[in-house]
Amino acid sequence: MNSNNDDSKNQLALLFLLCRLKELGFETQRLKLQKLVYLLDIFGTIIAEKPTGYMFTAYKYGPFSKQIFGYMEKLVCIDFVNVKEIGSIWDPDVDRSFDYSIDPDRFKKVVKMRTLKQYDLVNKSIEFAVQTAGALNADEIKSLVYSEPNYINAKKNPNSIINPEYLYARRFKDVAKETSKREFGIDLLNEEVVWLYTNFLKEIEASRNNFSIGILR
Amino acid sequence: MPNDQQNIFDVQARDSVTNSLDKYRWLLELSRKHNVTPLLATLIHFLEEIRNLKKEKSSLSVGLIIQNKRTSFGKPFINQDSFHLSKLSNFLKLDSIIDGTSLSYFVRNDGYVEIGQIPVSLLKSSARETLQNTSIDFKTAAFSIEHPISVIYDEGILVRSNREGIWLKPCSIPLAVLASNGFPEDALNHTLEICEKMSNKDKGCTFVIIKETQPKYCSPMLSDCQFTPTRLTALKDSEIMKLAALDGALILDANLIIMGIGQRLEAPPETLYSPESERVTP
Repeated sequence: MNSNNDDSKNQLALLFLLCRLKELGFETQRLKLQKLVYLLDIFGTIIAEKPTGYMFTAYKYGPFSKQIFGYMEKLVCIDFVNVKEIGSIWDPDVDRSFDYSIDPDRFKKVVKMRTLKQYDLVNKSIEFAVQTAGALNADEIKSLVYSEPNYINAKKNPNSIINPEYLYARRFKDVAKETSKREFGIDLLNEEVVWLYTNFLKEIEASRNNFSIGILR
Repeated sequence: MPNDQQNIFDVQARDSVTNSLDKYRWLLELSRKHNVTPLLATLIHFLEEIRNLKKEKSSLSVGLIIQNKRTSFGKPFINQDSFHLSKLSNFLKLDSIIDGTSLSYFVRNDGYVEIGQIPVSLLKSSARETLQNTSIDFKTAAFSIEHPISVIYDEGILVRSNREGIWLKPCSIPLAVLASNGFPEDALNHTLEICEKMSNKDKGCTFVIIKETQPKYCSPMLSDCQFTPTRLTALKDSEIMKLAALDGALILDANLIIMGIGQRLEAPPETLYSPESERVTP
């Protein structure tokens, strides 16, 4: 069970992410938010350390955290976050889409808190997550996350918890740095490994029907 | 992770890393240098997709400069709201006006793009030259997106060009080696510049520089056209390019005098060329 400190850290990461999405003019839909936090954790693991303590389950529509869902609902209830349903016609076959935004008065407080040095690392991970996937729509980000090896591995046992150590992301980082040094003479920055990992996910995405990452065998 | 799975994963990861770095190592280094590493994926998306954007079937021309502490720009004579680099459709709004002629897009390290007026002192005769000059003065990277060739400058140095989706490294031709064989280097440089301009306009040309005073082993097919030897530098580049675009090779002597257009090759006499040995006696 998370301590109060962990809960605060997790919740702040979510608020910082919402802020950054708003600042850059990106949409913040419920499903997209879940996937963005997942990518945030993956990228943060590559950069230095996992920024949040959220646990994700390997559901059919991608990684899902009940904690994120619960926390967003709580923020909406206390008017910290505003929610607007997108689309005027309800289609039972389509996941309802909600756009989240932090209440403007509270936005300023969150932005101010974000500048504290202790949050530098989480902000860096957020920046990479947002710059990489912020512009994607829900379908695009879903497709990208479906290709994430840690998720693919966990999906072998549906509804199981995705190993929060993100072993495949860590392993990729080691391989990327070693390959880059040996074949190109480049000492990769961790942030650059994030870019390479994203490319890796896109390659998996492109060949998914024929793809076997080894973890599926 | 079991060892066999790790081996397979490692191979896949290694291949992916190699492919990515083979193609975009130069952009990774450029991004690192100009502190825009978080934008690497977005920049690649921009470079790969911007040439596919068309307004009324015409390709878009765009100038983009990476902002840093040195960049300064004035209020543009035409403007639009700033937007994130990933939102490519915004580049269509003002068509090809913001191509670096005097206005350019400036991108911050958070990916936000705004339009700025390039300082008058940095303006050159073409958008491309202006962007190159700007990248020198601001010590930054500048992107000149045009059809069919786009170029990227890093502090004035050509880093890459892109022709129809293919990334090309700048090539260097060892003119010094030719110059040591009796061909004046300035003549070689001048013709090479013309060739580059022709290529940028998607036109082919052939220049032949000879050491002799008269062309040999070729003749014009248009026998009713007369040619007066003329110094290349006496003609405007546009005239030279039209001349070079004619069917045939433009023949110059070592003093850059245009001697004619050779359209039909003739075999040298047997005393000089031996088909058996395939060697020409100098």
